[in-house]
Amino acid sequence: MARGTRVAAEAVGFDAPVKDETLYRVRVDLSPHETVGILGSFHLDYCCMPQERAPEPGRRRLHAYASGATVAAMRKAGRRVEVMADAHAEGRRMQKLIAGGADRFRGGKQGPEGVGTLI
Amino acid sequence: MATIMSTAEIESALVFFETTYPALCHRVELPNKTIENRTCHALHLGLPNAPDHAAGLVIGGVHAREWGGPDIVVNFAGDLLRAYSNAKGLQYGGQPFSAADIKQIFEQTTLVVFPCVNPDGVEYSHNTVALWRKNRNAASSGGQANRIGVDINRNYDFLWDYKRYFDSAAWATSLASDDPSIETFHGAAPFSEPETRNVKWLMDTYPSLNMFLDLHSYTGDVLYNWGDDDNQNTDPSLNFLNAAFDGQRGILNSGYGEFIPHGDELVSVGAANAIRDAMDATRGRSYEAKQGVGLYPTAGTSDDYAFSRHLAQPGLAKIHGFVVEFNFASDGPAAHPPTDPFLATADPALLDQTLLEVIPGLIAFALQVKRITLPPLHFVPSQYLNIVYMNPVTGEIWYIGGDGKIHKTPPIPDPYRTLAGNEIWRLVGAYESLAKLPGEAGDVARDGILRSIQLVAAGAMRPVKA
Repeated sequence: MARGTRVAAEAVGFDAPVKDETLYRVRVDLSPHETVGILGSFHLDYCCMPQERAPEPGRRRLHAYASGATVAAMRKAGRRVEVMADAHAEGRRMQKLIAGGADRFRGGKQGPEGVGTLI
Repeated sequence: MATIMSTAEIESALVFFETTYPALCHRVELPNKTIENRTCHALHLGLPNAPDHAAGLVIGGVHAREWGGPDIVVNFAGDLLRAYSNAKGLQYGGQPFSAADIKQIFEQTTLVVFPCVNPDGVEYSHNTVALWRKNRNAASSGGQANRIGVDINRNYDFLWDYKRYFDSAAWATSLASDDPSIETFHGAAPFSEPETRNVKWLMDTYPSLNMFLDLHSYTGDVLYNWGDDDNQNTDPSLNFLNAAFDGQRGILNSGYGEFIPHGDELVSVGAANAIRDAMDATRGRSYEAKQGVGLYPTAGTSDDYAFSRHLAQPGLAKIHGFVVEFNFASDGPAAHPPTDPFLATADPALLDQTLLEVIPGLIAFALQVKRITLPPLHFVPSQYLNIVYMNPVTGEIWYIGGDGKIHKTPPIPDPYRTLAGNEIWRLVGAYESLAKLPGEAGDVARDGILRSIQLVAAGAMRPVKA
């Protein structure tokens, strides 16, 4: 596990309790013939996020962000919603991993080392 | 190991390239400062005095939270410059590019890269709210923090007024929104944002531009036009300019389909497949090349705006638009559940893997910029209906002719091979892997692959001049 990417005490899963004002990263179950349009009234943020295959045949899991209130509303409507993480808390942990310091390229005196191998 | 660059480091990297390789590149200052008064730069790569060369444009850093995009674009440019200046090729895992490939990019094309279209948003994502997606324009916010920002990739002038153009059943947050609190808020008007005006300015400034790629994450796709509705090749009257179909777009498998000439679609599919193949070859993962609407219908996006320009304004060049959605839902450290894939490239190991995987796709894109300008090859499609064998190196095909005998085609000229040879060889590999699959399922799968081989051989070998 990378440094600080997960907090063990964080409540995750299908039954995880949620707080109304907290933003969560979630996966929402979709049955074989449903499209994301069916979730329109919940105003989920799922842009550039996939609908991956679920273990159950034909079912998919939409990746999205949703407030705790929205998660509760979806569950109340009978939708299976898996809480993956407190999205903002996770974001703060990830921010600590990126540089955030001085300009490593010193205004252009240096540059990236390169990725591909010269052949 | 690499770590995510700040916006200052992105700018510094471009300065470094300009000063280290002055004969091969120069920075291009974009005319519109951002809301937070940042000046943006693109980088022009290619030999000087080549205004007629076919050109390609690659942009990144549009959606702030999709970490790693600008890093990919910067390193893509740096690798090309390093290789050409050393007269070398490049190797990324299992994907090589020859010195001749790199030479072609610099000597026969112009390449423009704009690594960070939305620096205000990227800075905000790095330092304040990691999941920030939009720019930082507060003009429509009414002073409320949760209403700040415009989704840059819904602000282009392509079916921007989605409530007029799309079926109301297609109105969804992924299509676009006129609510500033929604992540896809499309702004006050098309091109209301300095970031989209900067991209448009590049398209206007390079009249020989024929390919455009916008880098995003993380659905593992290579997307090609169109993104508003199903593609169709049969009825030119069904098109985004025709007001008779306003209010009908965005519902898949319905009466409306966006017209795209068959030849243009073949070019788009061929180039998308080449990009996908190059990324797949590096780490063995499977990206999917598909039409943009296959993700979900969209309005006001960059790739569709790029391709719509020559139709909306005859006389402008035809620009094939692509989106690469790098990385997958399962990426990130092996925790359960996995780390947020938008941010997972904060892990230096994953960023390194991502760079290694995606840069080859961008090089394949750059190679296509020249290849799609080549004149058609005049093969007879019916020759290829009974393929016996294909040589993936030369593109020669052995087939059973109408006389019942085996015949062989001439080798495919090198510039065409990516369009057809790679795709056919990939399908042959898939066919062989299914050779022992028993029963009807195996038969159906093998028949499907054979039909795909025939279709590719019949069509993709005949790229149409752009």
